[in-house]
Amino acid sequence: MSKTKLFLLGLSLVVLGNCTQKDDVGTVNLIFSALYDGQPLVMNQVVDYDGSSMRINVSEFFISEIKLIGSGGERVIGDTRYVDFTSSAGDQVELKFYDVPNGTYDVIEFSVGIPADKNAMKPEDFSSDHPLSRSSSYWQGWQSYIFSKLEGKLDTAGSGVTDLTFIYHSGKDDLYTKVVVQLNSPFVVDEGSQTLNLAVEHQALFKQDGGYLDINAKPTAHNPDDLEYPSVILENFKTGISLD
Amino acid sequence: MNRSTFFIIGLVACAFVMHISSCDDDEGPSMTADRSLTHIAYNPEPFELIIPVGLPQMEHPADNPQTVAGVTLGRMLFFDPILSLDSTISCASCHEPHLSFTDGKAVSDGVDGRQGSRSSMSLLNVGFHGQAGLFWDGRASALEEQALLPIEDPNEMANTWEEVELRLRRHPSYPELFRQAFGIDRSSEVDRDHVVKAIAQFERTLISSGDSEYDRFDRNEYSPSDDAITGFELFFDDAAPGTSLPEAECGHCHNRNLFTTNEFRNNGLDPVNSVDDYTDKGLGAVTGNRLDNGKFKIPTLRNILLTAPYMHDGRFETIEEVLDHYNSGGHHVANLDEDNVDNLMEPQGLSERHKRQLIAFLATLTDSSFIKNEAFQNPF
Ligand code: HEC
Ligand code: HEC
Repeated sequence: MSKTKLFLLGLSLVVLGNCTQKDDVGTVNLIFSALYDGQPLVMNQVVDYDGSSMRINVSEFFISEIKLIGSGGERVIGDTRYVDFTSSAGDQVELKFYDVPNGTYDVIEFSVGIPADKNAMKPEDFSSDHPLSRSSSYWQGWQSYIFSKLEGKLDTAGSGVTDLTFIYHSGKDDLYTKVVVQLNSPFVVDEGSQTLNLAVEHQALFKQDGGYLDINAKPTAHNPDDLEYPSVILENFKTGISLD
Repeated sequence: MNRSTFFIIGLVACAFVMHISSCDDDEGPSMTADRSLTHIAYNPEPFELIIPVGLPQMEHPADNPQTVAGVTLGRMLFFDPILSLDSTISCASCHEPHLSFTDGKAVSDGVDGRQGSRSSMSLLNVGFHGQAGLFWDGRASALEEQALLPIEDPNEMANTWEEVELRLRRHPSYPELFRQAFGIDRSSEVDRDHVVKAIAQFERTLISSGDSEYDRFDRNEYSPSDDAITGFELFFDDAAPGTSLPEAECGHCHNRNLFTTNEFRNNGLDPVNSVDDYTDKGLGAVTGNRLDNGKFKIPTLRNILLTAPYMHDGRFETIEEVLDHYNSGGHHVANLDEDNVDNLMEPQGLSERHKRQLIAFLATLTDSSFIKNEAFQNPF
């Protein structure tokens, strides 16, 4: 190989190297922990619901337009992810975000659900590694993704047997709900990887008018024209998610 | 006659045999396992898949692009009993095109009539399994990996891969087809990796036609019977405004347009006290997580009226029995701390009329163009 060729090869390697090397970004691990009344929530174990026994056995939701906000402005760090406590091994779900611009941030913001432009699409429009390819999270009757699923059983007779199944799924554009979490101390992203812990307090998701949703009165919410309970639950995500 | 003349005569004889024998002649005289193939052109031509609207894109592994020659070879291997111990069973013995690639039996018969414990699965749209595992319990993650297993399964083809490779290398015509599909230079290079790649390429062509009554209804090109429409509403909990119907909940697990979400669920087939009591643990045996015991892959309901008997063990002979099961709510795990039966499994209050309407809807999922597709039939 001639010297010029060698030189050109070397040069192109340097150029390529520069293009792919990212030294001004880092990785953020966002960890969601499921809580119930301040304690780790274990799927299907009995918790106290306003004096009755309850088991939560499904808790899943989409988050979209995930941003970190700091003095340098706001940075979108991810478009859509699925938080799936149902099939996670423990009470935690860890999401990784790569290439997060270095900086100091004091707010994390995202919305529970799917933004309208994406919500107009369908699972078959996405490759199978994309969260929006989940066909179990699409409901044709609503022409919408299912933004969140919260399911379980309640002991309605005080007999110790959780006899009533409740299924609350939410969806449709109007229910897209923004969650803003103020970070206590400035969150610094540098080249390495940093962890941010958020808690999802499930007890808070059921709150209504100073009390709790009357599950017995309406154990399922499938009807696209009656999204009362799902709306309450989604609204509760605003305060139900906090720094862990 | 000295040795070399003997050898040359042998060679000429071989060439002659190779010339006259055809693919459907498995028992025919075999060739040497190592012969050059470079005189045959290798010009792989991409296979053009036709995917009807409403289905996802097909995903191909980077190391197994679909080619015309690969699909042709895969189809032959799929239908050829040469893969089994005694050359009696092919993949198609348990996956017959006219039964939407099932076998009509509760539990499949392998060589010598040996039986496993599970029912065959439809291969319709199997290429769209996405990130979900294959088999009732999800133990294989790719079609290529799946196809390795039946060959050596003692209750299925009961062969060894060494034997299969030898038979194919010596075969009068297969090595040429492997050359065309994968560009190998010598017949001795035919191996299991090529075999499973070719079969998987063929399986990825097994796509529903888009011509079923349901698909035409979905595209507003066809209006099914009133019963089928009510069945649709029951299936998808989608009663017309102002009317009221029970919710049959099927659509949550058998969601359109694949009529499976490709997930693993427990639909409460067996009464048990604890999840440890399931005789077939399904997904749990693969993941090692007790709470996955009793979960099985949600199968597609396309062509469901052609694929009785039903469930992983073929326990229900008719679709009516299936509906009775769902209508009853099935069986939950008695120990409620570990009850992993799906929340949707609750008594439904379907009348006999509702059940007939659901069946009328399921009938719209029959895809005759798929089962009759020339390209899916036995090539021999
Ligand atoms: C003896 C009958 C038999 C033979 C022969 C057979 N299969 Fe199967 N096949 C089955 C049964 C039974 C299952 C389900 C087994 C299980 O879940 O453990 C199955 C499952 C499958 C699946 C999984 C489908 C899904 O949706 O997960 C694929 C793919 C498949 N077979 C392809 C093949 C191929 C390719 C061959 C030939 C190499 C073959 N089978 C030979 C009986 C058979
Ligand atoms: C909770 C999820 C779920 C719901 C709801 C559900 N299914 Fe299933 N279905 C499954 C699973 C999982 C299997 C496989 C179970 C097994 O074999 O162990 C299955 C199997 C079947 C089969 C047998 C398919 C075959 O190839 O053997 C039919 C038919 C069927 N379901 C129809 C229905 C109908 C009709 C409804 C509504 C009345 C319905 N399902 C509701 C999950 C569900």
